[in-house]
Amino acid sequence: MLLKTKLKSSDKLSALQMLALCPALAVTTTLSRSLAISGALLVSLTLSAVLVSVLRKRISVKLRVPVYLLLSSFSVTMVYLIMRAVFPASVMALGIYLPVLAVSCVMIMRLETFSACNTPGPAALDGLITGAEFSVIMLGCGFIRELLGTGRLFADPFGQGGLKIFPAAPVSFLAQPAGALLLIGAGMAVFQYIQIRSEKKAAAELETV
Amino acid sequence: MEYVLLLLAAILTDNFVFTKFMGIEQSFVSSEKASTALKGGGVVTAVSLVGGGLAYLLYRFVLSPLEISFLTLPVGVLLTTAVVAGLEAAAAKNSALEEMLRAQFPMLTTNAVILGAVFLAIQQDLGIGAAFLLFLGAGIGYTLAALAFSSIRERLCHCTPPAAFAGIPIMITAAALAVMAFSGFAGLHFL
Repeated sequence: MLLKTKLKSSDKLSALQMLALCPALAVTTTLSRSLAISGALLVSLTLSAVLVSVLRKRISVKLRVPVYLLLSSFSVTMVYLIMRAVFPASVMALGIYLPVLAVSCVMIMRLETFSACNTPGPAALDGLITGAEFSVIMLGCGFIRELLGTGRLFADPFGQGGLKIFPAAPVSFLAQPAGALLLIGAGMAVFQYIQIRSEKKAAAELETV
Repeated sequence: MEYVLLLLAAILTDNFVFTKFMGIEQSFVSSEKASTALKGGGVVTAVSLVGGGLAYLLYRFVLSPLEISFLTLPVGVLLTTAVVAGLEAAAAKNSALEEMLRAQFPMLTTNAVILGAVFLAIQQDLGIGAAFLLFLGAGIGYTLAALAFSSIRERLCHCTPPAAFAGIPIMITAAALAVMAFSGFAGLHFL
C-alpha cells in the first residue's frame, strides 16, 4: 500500500530533488562509476533513514539538522569503509565525491521530511525507493555518457578497457562535466513535455465527455 | 608565486561549482539577486576558511597521527555545523546582519564545497598554508558561480522558453552552457 502511494508521488520528481543530485552527477562519466556512487547512495540513505527514525523521539527540534548530518556522515563512513575493503578501485575512482554524499541535499531532505516522523520500517522503504529512483537516473546518465562520450561500454572505474561500440567517441562533449548538466536538462524537458501532453489529453477527454 | 597560482587554479580551472558540481544547488537557489549571491558567497568563504581550516588542522595533527583518519568526515561535518551555529549566534545579536544572513543559513550546512575542499586537500596532501589557500579559493569560486547564476536567473526572468523547458530545465541547460564557457579556463594550466 505504502509502496504504491510512494511510487505514485514519485512520478513527479521535484525539480529541487534533481538539483540535489548534482554533485553525484559529476562522477557519472561511466556506467561502473555510476553504479558505485548510486550503490553508495542507496545503502547510506537507507541506513541513515533507519537511524534517524529509530532516534526520532530523542532528537531535539532545535538541533535536528546537525544530528541528521552527523548520522548521515556516520552511515556514509560505514559504507566508505566497507567499499574500501571490498571494491578498493571504485573508492579510488570516486575520490572526494563519496564522502561528500553525507551532506547532499537528497539525504537531508528525505531524513527531515519522511524518516523523522515515521517508524523504521517505512523509513527504510522510503530510503530504498528514493535511492533506487536516483540510481536509475544516475545509471541512465552513466550509460548515455559512456556510450556517446567515449564510444565504449562497461569500462572499469578508471575508464580502461570495456567493449568498443563506436570506433570513435560520437559526442565526446558528453564526457565533460557540462555534458552531464545538459543531459539532465534535456531529460527533464522531455519529462515535462510528456507531463504537459498527458495533462492536455486528460483535459481534452474531459471536454468530449 | 606558487601559492598565487594555487589560488587562481582553485577559483578558475578547478572551480568547485563548475567542474565538480559541488554546492551547485545552493548557488542556484540562493542567488535570486546579485547582492544575495555576494552575501551568500561571503558567508560560504568564511565558513570554508574557519570550519574547513579547523577540520584540516585536526586531520593533520590529531586524526592522521592517530591513524583514525576515517573519522575525518563526521569530524568535518561537526566542525562546519559548529562554525555555522557560531555564526548564527553571532549574527543574532545584530538584527541587520541577522536579517541579511537568515536566508543563507539553512543552505550552509549542506554546502558540499566546504567538505569537498577539505577532502581535496587531504587527497593532494597539501601543506597547511596551501590548504588554507585552497579553502579561500573554493569560497571565492563559489561566490563567482553564484554571481554568474544570479545573472542567468535575471535574464531567464525576461524570456519565454518552450513550455517543455519552462522552469528548472531551462535553468539547468543555461547552467550547462555557463559550465561549458567556464571550461575554457582549463587551457590556462596553472600547475
